[in-house]
Amino acid sequence: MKQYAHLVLLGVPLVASCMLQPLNSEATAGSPPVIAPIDPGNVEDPGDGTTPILTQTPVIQIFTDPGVGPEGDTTTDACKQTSLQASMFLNRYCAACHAVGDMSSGVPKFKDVLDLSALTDPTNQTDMPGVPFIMPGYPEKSRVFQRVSEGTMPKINIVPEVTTHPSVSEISVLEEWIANCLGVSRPHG
Amino acid sequence: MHRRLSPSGRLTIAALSFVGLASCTDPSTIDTTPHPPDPIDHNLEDCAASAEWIPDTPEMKDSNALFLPAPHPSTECPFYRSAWQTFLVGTKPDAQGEPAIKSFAVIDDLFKKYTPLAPDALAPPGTPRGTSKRAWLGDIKQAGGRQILIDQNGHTLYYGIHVNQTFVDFVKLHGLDSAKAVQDANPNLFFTAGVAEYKTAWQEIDPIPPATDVAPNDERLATFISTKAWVPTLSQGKDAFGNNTILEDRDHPRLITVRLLAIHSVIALPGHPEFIWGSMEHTNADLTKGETDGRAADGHRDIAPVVPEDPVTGELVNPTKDDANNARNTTIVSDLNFPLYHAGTPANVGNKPPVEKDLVFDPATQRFTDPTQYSSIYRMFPASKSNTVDPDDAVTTLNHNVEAIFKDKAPMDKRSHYRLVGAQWMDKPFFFDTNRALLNDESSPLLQNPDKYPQLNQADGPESRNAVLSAGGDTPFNLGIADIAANGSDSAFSMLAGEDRMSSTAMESFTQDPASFFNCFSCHNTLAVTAKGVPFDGPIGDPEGTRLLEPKRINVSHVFSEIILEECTAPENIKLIPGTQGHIATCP
Repeated sequence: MKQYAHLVLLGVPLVASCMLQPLNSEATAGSPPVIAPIDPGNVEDPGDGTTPILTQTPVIQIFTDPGVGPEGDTTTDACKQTSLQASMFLNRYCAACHAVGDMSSGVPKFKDVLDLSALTDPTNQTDMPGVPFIMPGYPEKSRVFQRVSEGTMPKINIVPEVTTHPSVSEISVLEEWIANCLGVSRPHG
Repeated sequence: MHRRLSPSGRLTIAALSFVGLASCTDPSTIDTTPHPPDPIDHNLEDCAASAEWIPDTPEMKDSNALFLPAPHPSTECPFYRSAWQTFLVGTKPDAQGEPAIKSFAVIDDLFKKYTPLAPDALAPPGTPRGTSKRAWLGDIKQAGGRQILIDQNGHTLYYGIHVNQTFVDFVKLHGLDSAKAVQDANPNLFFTAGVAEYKTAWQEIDPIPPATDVAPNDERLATFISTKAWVPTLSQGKDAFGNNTILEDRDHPRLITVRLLAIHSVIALPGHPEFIWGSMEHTNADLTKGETDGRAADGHRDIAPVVPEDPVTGELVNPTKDDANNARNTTIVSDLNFPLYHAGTPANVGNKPPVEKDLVFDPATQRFTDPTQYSSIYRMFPASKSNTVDPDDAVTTLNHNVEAIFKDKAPMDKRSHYRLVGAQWMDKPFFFDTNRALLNDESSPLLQNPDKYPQLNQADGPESRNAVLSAGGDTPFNLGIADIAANGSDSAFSMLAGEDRMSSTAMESFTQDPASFFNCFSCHNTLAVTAKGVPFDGPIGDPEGTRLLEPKRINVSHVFSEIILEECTAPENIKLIPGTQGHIATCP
């Protein structure tokens, strides 16, 4: 299992391009729909009307930003996509209050939502003693996921995007990121 | 996906297609009909299969398959691939040749019972399920109307619900290991990526006298995934109203030979806690003879026929708006017998359930003995879509590409005799939440407020809906409804994607028509669930039913409502809901 700490540790440039940008729909509004065929791999067509034979596993396109879809970059690594989406989630919904240095909110003050090493540092105190911000492999034991999934984070009016709670769908991506994409996978079996 | 493109979009597509076709399989090679594709549709989606799937199919989590696919207007291929791979994982033969799902956990394994089963009733975890003290399959009454399907041999089908290890882990993690715990579960708990479940439909195969058992090389099993299964012993008793009813004794099962007719393979992806609902069915296409089956119209699906062409136009047809359940369609569906269809049955006579209290049943042979009560089932929507009879290109080409891999790597693998009917998921999972019907009907937020929701978690922004609404001439609601009628699940007003009229002929045999439970989300949503496996509330709810579970996100799976049905519906647990005709089941 790869660990995508760099995605957030490199958060400053990422923030510059992603911060508070809508995750999806607005990015492509009005652009012509483009349907890109999935690469079918190497196919030998006998040319006689019989069934072609697929000879090589194709590269399945995983779009790093589903909102951009075929116009965006692709990867062959599912966790890379999930990590980028999680990063966008944290930027969109959390950064305005929890990545603004000493102006950050929270008791105790929580200003490291874009710093993965700080998020996963068990010595960093949260509002729930003994529960770290993120425990890789265990979303349900991660305070960030708990608060987001419980819907107990307050709405604010600083930026429009943060006046809405994330959808269940978006929260499920955050869950997958913590469960399986941070170097420790959820126990299986 | 068959969405109409803007002129600029077509130009873009044409330019891309020129490059793309150089490396892609030409989909027209698998279209055996005489109709050439429309020139503007040269951008047919060619949905690839993965060679690594066969023969030793990796788990989704081990093959970079757990990701959030891009939404419309991108290809739907990754969704269909997830359904195919989930099927292949679940039916992968083990060292003894048994399908993997035979050892997957079932409801008996997941939950503690009020009256525990005998200590040796369940086989050790991870080994084939079912023992002489507990049936593996059963639940013969279909969800929806709790009706019984009877095949042409006079047997009912036996159904199974199976879950993968990730589902088992989910149940343990959240402490949902009893009926009471399920009823008390947090309504906002949702399924996480990788959780998978299966529903299977098995047909009993009788020994040919004088033999008392079915030989492993019996030709009736040749192309089917088959196994020995412990199934309930059936009997005829009385229901609460004194009517005859068929009873299942799961604690005194009998061992029979069964073959797999159809299977739902269902998995949650990141961003899609509603599940991707895939459905597979058997085909008799013989790859070794060069036969191919990418879609039902290829003529190889052999458990039930597809509604025939219109005798006047020669074209396949969906039910019409003024004859939604084919009540006036007297066309003979097929002159051939199928396991679930009797030759010569007209469309308007087919798909009718028998009246349970009138069934004639012989307990000695475990057979229904009145042939007039045998079912005649046909597929009502040829492509399982509301707006077209042409299947999605991604489904057809994916079926074809999986065929090619089987032909190359494992032509004798019995999994090669199953095909994807279609799949269904939420095109706009933004709307997935607790207590939602998840349908394109009057309950849909997109139809109630079609000019809202600029932040949808998908690519259909408000502009594409506004383009329809700006045409005017009717109410926004009606314009949205009309657009869904024209474009089906490709409509910007559709919450759903994929096959919006998909039913298994073996599992949802009697509920295919548009006035019934015509797709997966009709029943598998987050509303309260009743004892019939249908919603208590909502436009097609059963407010006079017995409510088993309050609204919950995990209600999309009926594994949980099933344990409530089994454990908490004794008369002492049922109470009238004051001021209503409905009842509620409460687990002690």
